[in-house]
Amino acid sequence: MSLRARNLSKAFGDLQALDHVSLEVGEGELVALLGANGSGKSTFAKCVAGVYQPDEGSIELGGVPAVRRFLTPTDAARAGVRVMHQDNPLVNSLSVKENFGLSTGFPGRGSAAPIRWRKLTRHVQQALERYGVEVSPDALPATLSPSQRAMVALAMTLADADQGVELLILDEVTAHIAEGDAAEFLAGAARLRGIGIPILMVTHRFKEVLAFADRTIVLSGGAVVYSGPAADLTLTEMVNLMAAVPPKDQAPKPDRVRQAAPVAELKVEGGSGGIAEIRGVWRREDLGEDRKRPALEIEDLEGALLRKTALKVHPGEIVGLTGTADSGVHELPEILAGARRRQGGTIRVAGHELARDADPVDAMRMGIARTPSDRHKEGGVMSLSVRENITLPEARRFWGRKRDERKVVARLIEALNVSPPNPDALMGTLSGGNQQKVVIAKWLLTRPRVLILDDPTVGVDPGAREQIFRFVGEAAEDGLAVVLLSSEPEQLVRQCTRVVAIAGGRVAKELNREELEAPEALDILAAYGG
Amino acid sequence: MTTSVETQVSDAPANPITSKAPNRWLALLFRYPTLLMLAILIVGFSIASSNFLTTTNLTTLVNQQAVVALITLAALLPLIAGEFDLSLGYAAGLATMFGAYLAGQGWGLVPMILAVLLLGVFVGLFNSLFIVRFKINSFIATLGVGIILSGGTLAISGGEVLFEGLPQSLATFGRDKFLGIALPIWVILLIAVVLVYLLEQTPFGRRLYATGGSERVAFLAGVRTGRIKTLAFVGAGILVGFAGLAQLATTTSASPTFGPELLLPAYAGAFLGVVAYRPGYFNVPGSIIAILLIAVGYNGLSLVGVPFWGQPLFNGAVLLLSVLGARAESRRVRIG
Ligand SMILES: Nc1ncnc2c1ncn2[C@@H]1O[C@H](COP(=O)(O)OP(=O)(O)OP(=O)(O)O)[C@@H](O)[C@H]1O
Ligand SMILES: [Mg+2]
Repeated sequence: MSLRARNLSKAFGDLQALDHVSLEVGEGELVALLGANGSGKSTFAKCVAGVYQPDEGSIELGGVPAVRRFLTPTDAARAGVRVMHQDNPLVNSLSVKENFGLSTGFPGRGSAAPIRWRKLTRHVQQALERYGVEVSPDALPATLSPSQRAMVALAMTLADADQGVELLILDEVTAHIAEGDAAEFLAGAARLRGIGIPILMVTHRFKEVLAFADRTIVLSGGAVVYSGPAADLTLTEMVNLMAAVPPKDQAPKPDRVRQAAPVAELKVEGGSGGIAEIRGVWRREDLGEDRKRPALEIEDLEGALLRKTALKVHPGEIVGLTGTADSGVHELPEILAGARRRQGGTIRVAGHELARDADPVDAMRMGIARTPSDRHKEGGVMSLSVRENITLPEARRFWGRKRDERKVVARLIEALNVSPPNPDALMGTLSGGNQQKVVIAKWLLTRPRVLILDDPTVGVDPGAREQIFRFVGEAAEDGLAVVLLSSEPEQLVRQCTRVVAIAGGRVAKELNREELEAPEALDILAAYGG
Repeated sequence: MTTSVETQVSDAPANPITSKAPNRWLALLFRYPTLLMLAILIVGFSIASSNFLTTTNLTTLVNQQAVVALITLAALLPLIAGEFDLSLGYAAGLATMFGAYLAGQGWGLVPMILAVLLLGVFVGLFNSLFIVRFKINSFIATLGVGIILSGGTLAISGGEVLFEGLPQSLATFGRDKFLGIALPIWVILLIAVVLVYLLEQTPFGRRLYATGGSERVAFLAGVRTGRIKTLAFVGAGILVGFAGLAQLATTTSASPTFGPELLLPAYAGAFLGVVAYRPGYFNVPGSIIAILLIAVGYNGLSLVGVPFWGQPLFNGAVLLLSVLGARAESRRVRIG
């Protein structure tokens, strides 16, 4: 069991997404595939999985002779490739065992014969046990925690592991999961090395690389720029490697596979000088005029889970929020954005009350902007261009001013380093991390008073994370009030002026800047987070 | 209800025109595959039949497209918003009959026109009541509404063809030509220009396409998606009103069976329109090219002497082939 990919290339129009990529994953080896957003990681995974067909190269799995390409995902699956994509594949309205049946087939004599439910239940139970998933086959996915859902999906992906799984690909499967849960999930997945399954893991979390990977491969601009033991690379070196060949420039020659060069300090790519020159684009005139008055005041807020929650955020503050899935903390961004009704309590923005039945239009008018954590369902219109996505909430502002629109969009694309830097590219063709940057650009453009970032760096590469937070930091200095939810405690500690932990629907703990500096802060946050 | 055309993304860069120079003309051709087919058909039929390339034949051909063109444009608006309107054919029948009925009751031209357009507005509101307010699947809701409308047509006509009392000026308008093209066609071109402006240049157009692309994302971005959909159905109703008037002007009578048979050609035009002008999106110019393509095929085939059952074969085949061709050309792939 092993994977050997030779010289895989794939172009989309003028864009060379993969350029002669050769890589190997040995038996029982876990390789971390890293690279900036848009560097070709998912494209590589999809080429191996038969979703895309490479233009060149060959793929060799196990001892079987190499093939040119897989024409369909089914062909690849038959050859032993198992892929978990970032989007959770579980159907929420069906029980765990029905989900299994959908993906691996319902036991019975044929499609028209009655399903043998007992047999299915037994199969599912066995599969779940094999991967140590403590979930009932009758549970509904909606009632499970994110890590349980991920584990169920993994068990489903590998339900037939005894019948020749040759390769497991995990494409950013932990991105949406809180760090603790993610570690638990990966530990479960990494156990598969024991039975010899090679694993290729795509991630942007450096911690996961250190904890689980045997080897690291870095892609940049569609080419392999580094391959070596996982422990040999520091975060700084990694970031620099990722930026080694900016995706904008032409891709490197096939044989230019470099070893990690000694690198100086963390250098952040893109964005000439941050937001200073595009401030006018998003900044409202009255922003932060009165810094004493809270920009956002929440009192006695009642939601499905929230109980008498209170929160004040002043202009210039970046307030972190954390809590488990059942703490109710995730209701807050939705209620504030007008996407969910509240049962009671008052919300005031710069002294003006937000009506109880407010919809997104009302929330936007008051100056609230929220970047959702579910990029696919709520973030962008995949069939429209980047430009149309960025200016969607502000369509009226640019009516009859196409040239202005293009200028503003071009600046935002540059400032956030969106790749490819083409405003006419369809949202759906952008890599995951770049879609996230577009969503952030879209909401900055609404000139908010209060910006709510709900896990804004899901799937965003380390360089671009710095970029986004530098942006947010500067905006806060201008008087923007920022609320940050994150699945990574470290991010809260690094970015926030204070952090509020919610438990059982109430504010349970508050850490100010000083307390955040203390070494135990991370543990406290991890205990409250999920 | 998003159709498959919209949930797919092309492998090629979004705007082929901006790509490298040598490919430019090729890219332009790829952007207008239906126009290319139209050109081939015109050349082919001109060679095969001496009667094809005559002014009379060509202008007649164009002049016959008024009603189907209007219903195609009507179908586009809900389609862009991600919904179907299956009541269009029945509504066109009712609009025609209603106009003839009012004329028979002695109504003047202008009040009659306004009343027919108002009827269209009501049909659109009625449709959106079920779709936007009660959240019923548009496929089912508009089918139900359509069947009710056909009952209305039968009721006011008593099952008869109505032709009495139609204002002379309406018939004249239907007959008169400017540069050989009937006046109703000019009106349609004007409507098409207005629609192109609305869809491409205004916030309404943006919001309509966004709603069709992802209703949830649009809603969260401050688009009142319910209102947008209602506007789409009302717009469709008004265009159907125009279709009824065009039918009255050209045939000077209203038949109780007219209408439903136009639904499929209209949808064929709208879907075929997706391959041209703004590939991957429902759009007005592409749909108009598609209607012309089907009309030329229809006309040419009958001139060449293909039996009557050859027509539907041709129409269906063109639709399937063009859409397939467009897929192969851009190697469309699913998002995700
Ligand atoms: N279907 C497509 N059509 C056009 N371009 C595409 C398509 N799929 C991917 N691309 C482009 O190919 C490049 C590589 O994309 P890919 O999704 O592999 O990046 P990635 O390394 O997975 O990034 P991320 O970390 O953000 O997920 C990107 O520039 C992307 O815009
Ligand atoms: Mg990816």
